Amino acid sequence: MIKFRLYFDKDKETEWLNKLAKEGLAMTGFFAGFYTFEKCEPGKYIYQIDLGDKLFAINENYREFMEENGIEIVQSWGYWIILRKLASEGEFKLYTDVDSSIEHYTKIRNMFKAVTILELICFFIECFCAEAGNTWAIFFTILIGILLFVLLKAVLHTNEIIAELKERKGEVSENTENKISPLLTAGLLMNSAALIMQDSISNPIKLGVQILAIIFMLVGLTQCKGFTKK
Amino acid sequence: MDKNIPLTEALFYILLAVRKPNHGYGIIQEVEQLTDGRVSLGAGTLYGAIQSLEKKGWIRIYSEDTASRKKKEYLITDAGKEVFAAETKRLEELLQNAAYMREESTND
Repeated sequence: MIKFRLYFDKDKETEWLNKLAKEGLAMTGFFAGFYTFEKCEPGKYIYQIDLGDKLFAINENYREFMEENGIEIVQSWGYWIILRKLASEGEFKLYTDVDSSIEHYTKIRNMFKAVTILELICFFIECFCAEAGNTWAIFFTILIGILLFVLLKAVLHTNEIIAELKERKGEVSENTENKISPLLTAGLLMNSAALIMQDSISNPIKLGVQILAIIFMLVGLTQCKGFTKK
Repeated sequence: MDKNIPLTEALFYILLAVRKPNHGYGIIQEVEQLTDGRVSLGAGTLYGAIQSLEKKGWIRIYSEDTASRKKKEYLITDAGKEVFAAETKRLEELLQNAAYMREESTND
């Protein structure tokens, strides 16, 4: 059985996999949002998701360590590693203290940040191509725009988790604005609208709207303190 | 060395559990026994801790035999023992000073 899902929150993804495992569906593979499942005894496995150090590869030490502890590596994708353990062997948790959890979520946050910046660069390149009248580029600009928004939300959400963990350690977290600025959303929408309607509006207007949109987006991004802070 | 003290509870117990050669699963079990189930190390936490302890030179791989698929064992090093001793000294001081609280309440 194949199910399609796009998750940008590994805790929700883990919850989903475990819910299905309880119902008798064990995840066996993943490819670009497509999860494959096999029937299993309900509740046979417990799933967990980790973030590795290597892209599309698993550290040999890591693999060995997990295997020695009765943990099966089901799939790695990007930096993500999906693991499972037989429920009959007891509880399965990856990070059990505050310090290692903070480290784990900081790694996740930094990965999301890096991808966001990469997408931002792609976004401007596609914008430039869309400007030149490439229809595919218009489509991609809009798609990447949406992806940027989702990624930024993932960064901010992970920041919230880290702040909560630090509070448990007794550290006082500074109050950062963890919402996406409406300016960023407005900028993305304006840019998309200008690109879609570029045939029906005059060039100077379109250019003006797009420049404004880009200014909105950049200001909106700098307003997300949760993104700029270390 | 000082900047590593105080040790986290996980690191403290892992160092203790490798005073004699021990493997990953053995460490988890021993720490659970010592703390009556209060400290249960997750695989990710333990893996990260072992990597960092090895890097710091506080533990070393004691035996590795890939041919027989025998589990990898770890052992504390002299540097690790030093850190553990320093941490124990700190904890003893903590406990000694905690006695003042008791005196205070009996005086009342």
